[in-house]
Amino acid sequence: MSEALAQHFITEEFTPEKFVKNLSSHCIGAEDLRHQRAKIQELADSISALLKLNVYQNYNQFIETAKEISHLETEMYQLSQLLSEQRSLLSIFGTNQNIVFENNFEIKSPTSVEFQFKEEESKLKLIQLLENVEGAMSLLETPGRMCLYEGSLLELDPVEGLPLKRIHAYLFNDVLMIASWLANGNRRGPPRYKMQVIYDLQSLAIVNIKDLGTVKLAFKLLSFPDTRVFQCTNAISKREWLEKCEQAKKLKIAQETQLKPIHTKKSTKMELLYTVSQSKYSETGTVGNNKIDKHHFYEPFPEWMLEVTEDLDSCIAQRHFEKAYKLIEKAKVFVNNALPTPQLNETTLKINSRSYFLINVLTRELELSVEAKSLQGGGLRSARRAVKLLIQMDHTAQACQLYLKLCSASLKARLKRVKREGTTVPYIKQLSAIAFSNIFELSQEFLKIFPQITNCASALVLWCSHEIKFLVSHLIKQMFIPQVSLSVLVECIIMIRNHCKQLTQMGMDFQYQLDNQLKIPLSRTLQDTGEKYMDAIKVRASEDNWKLSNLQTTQNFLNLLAELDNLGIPLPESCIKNKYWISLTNNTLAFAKLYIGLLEDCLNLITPETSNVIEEVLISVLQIQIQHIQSSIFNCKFKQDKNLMQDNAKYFHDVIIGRCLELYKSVIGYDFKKLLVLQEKFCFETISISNKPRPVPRTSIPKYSTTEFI
Amino acid sequence: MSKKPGAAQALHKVIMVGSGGVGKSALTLQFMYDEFVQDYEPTKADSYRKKVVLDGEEVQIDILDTAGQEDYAAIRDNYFRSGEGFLCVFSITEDDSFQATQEFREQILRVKNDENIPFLLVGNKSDLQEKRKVSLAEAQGRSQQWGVPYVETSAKTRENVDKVFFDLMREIRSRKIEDKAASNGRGKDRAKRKKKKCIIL
Ligand SMILES: Nc1nc2c(ncn2[C@@H]2O[C@H](COP(=O)(O)OP(=O)(O)OP(=O)(O)O)[C@@H](O)[C@H]2O)c(=O)[nH]1
Ligand SMILES: [Mg+2]
Repeated sequence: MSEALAQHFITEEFTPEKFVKNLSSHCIGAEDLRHQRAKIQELADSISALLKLNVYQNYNQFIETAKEISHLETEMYQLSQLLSEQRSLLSIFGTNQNIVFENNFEIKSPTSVEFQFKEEESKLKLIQLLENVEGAMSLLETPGRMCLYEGSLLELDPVEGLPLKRIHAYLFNDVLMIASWLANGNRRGPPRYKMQVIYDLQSLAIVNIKDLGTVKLAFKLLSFPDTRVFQCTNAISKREWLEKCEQAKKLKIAQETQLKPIHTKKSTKMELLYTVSQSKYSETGTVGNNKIDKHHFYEPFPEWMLEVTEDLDSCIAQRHFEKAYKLIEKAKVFVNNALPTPQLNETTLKINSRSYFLINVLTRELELSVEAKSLQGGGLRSARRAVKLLIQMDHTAQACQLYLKLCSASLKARLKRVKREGTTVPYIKQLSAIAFSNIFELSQEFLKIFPQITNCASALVLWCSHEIKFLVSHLIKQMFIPQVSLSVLVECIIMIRNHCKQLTQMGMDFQYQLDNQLKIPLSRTLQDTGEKYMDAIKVRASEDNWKLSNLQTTQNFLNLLAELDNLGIPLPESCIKNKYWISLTNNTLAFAKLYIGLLEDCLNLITPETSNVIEEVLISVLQIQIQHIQSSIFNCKFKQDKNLMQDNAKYFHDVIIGRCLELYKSVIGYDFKKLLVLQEKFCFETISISNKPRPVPRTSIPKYSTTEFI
Repeated sequence: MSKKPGAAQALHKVIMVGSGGVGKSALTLQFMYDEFVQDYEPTKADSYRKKVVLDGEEVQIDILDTAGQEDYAAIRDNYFRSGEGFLCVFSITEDDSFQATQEFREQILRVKNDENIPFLLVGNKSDLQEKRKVSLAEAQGRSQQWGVPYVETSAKTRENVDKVFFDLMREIRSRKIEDKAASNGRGKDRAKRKKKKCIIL
């Protein structure tokens, strides 16, 4: 019937006037009209219920989608961070080959930041290493050359096995270099060597000397026609030498068979370069018409350029990093405008090496401040200088990474100072306040240092997310302990949420992350608390002897009234018997206070993730009290207390449950369905069997009046 | 014995070649220390030195025990260059190892560039007659074709172990005497030259 009616309304040609006219002409008498009206009313009600349901579902869907988006957003940030790392790696790798001198050797694809660090580190090591070896700088020219192992050895006569002299050997990935010791005079500093010979690993055989009379710990190099015997200082060193040589040789052979074509191409390129510069030399006598050529080529280096490496060294040593950077930049410009000559090449190599060195010093500086235990504000401030330079030198990703590490360290240091004294709440309050305000400050600072670099912004988001996760997991450990009651917990969680919300000012929302982290421990605590309440209610119920409450003084009475008003569960006038007597039992009053407290705590915590648990807890606690009331009503022992019971049941039904429904709706925005069902059931099973229904005052619960059930 | 052995004491450099697992190390250790090693542990490159009396003359033998494993094939040249004589070992129980001797022979001749390099074809594991896969005739045929002696040994029973090393040393010694006769005093110069030719580049 109502279906048919509904069909009427959704037809296109429906007009209310026509419908009403039609209806009134068909109806006979007022009764029929009233009947029709009721039907339409019914339809309206069901439609509005449907609408509500729809809204609720949409709302839920909306929340789900919003969460989904949040997750996606973090993933996007992560992705963008990865991409930017890759990109900066690639670009660094490109410049790595030759910072100043634009020369495109084939670019290998690095896979990680570590790889890049290693590459640079090994290059730098190589430079530092070779600086102590006279005549070995030419070894730097081969890109990708790395020192795998080095050490001092004692050379022995290959025939007799007698000691000859101490040498220093360097194993590279492609060659083995033997250097002899140079007298260091009385100069301080690292020992100096002079390059003696370089053996190509390909034509070098390494033999483990198992037996050479009394000679122990020796190995042999065969590189026709040389046979050389070296003695190590200990067994470990010997084993390492043999292993490293073996590895290097195998690698070299594997590479050689792979990279043959590329290798030859590269070498022809180098040759070409040299022939070009040589032909320039040979043209010296002729009158060149290329003026620029002539100008740049014949002019000797300006003085500053001649001293550039020494100057750079001293700048870096004196920590005048900015000055060093400027000098490098200046040299770059000079080199780019000059034509390649052997001298220029050499200087370029040297400048490159200083450039690496500077980068390394700066990174090291940052790393050291990360490691430093006592991080004052100054640590970050001084780091800013290094970071700025690194950004200028195209090492943004690295700088960003290190800076964030530094931020972490600084945050940790600051939080360490928060001592755990007294109770949980002050500690949690202090800790989270300090942590969040620091995260906020550090983030703002970060954005100032790395402005307009979107890649770094994503790194920041990840950093914040990580720090907050870490912090919250620490807080969880502190808060979720049996000694901390639910209401204290609520206080803490609300505070943390508020702090978290502040970060949205910077466009970062970690609330869903926080809620997610809290979900499991919170659910457990809610359930535990619920059980504790139920136990307490059971105990009190067993002691309930159903007596009116006597408050003894007017003051007590007024206090109670005020208290209940405050809780939103005012005492109905009908319950006031005379003077200080009220027809609510102590049990009911205690339950009411307890329950409203629980309710408020729960509603303060509620999130879509926890709403299920919360509803369950609220319902099951109520049910225990309901059981008590019901079993008392049917207990003959309390036969004469029927009226008192009715008053209590009604108060429970109307005021307590009513307040619960009201509060729930005002916080969550929709009805507490399960409770409505429970309320109805309670009314039906308990109150309606009463033979003397009395009107119930509805002071604070106008919306959820339940009189219609009575 | 003496701290400064006389410069006259000869040093003969022998190289053990052959496929993996044929018993090069076993032969070497048996010769060096009179012991037989049952376990197989692939060799990379080991060298041994021993004083022996060769026909009444005290000499030193330097044995380079090389890797038979295929993955070292690419770097064999470097080892072979330093050898004065070769024991080319196969196992009579494994035909593949016998076939491989052909390759070793060719590589040695190529590297040493000398048809008459002291060389012995050695059929090892002669104690395992019941497992023999390479007939005596077959092996002898090949040795005759190459113009080198063929000896069967057992590193386990020590059969012919000393013989192969001493026979080879004799060949090396006579080659050295021939060389000396051919170009007087050159052998010594050679040793000196080695130390000077250091600076490349
Ligand atoms: N029965 C018997 N076993 C032997 C003999 N010689 C070697 N073996 C065994 O054969 C195995 C391999 O011997 P090795 O001497 O290690 O072989 P290898 O030629 O040095 O092998 P690579 O070092 O890999 O080139 C070991 O288990 C030895 O005990 C032999 O004459 N008789
Ligand atoms: Mg071996």
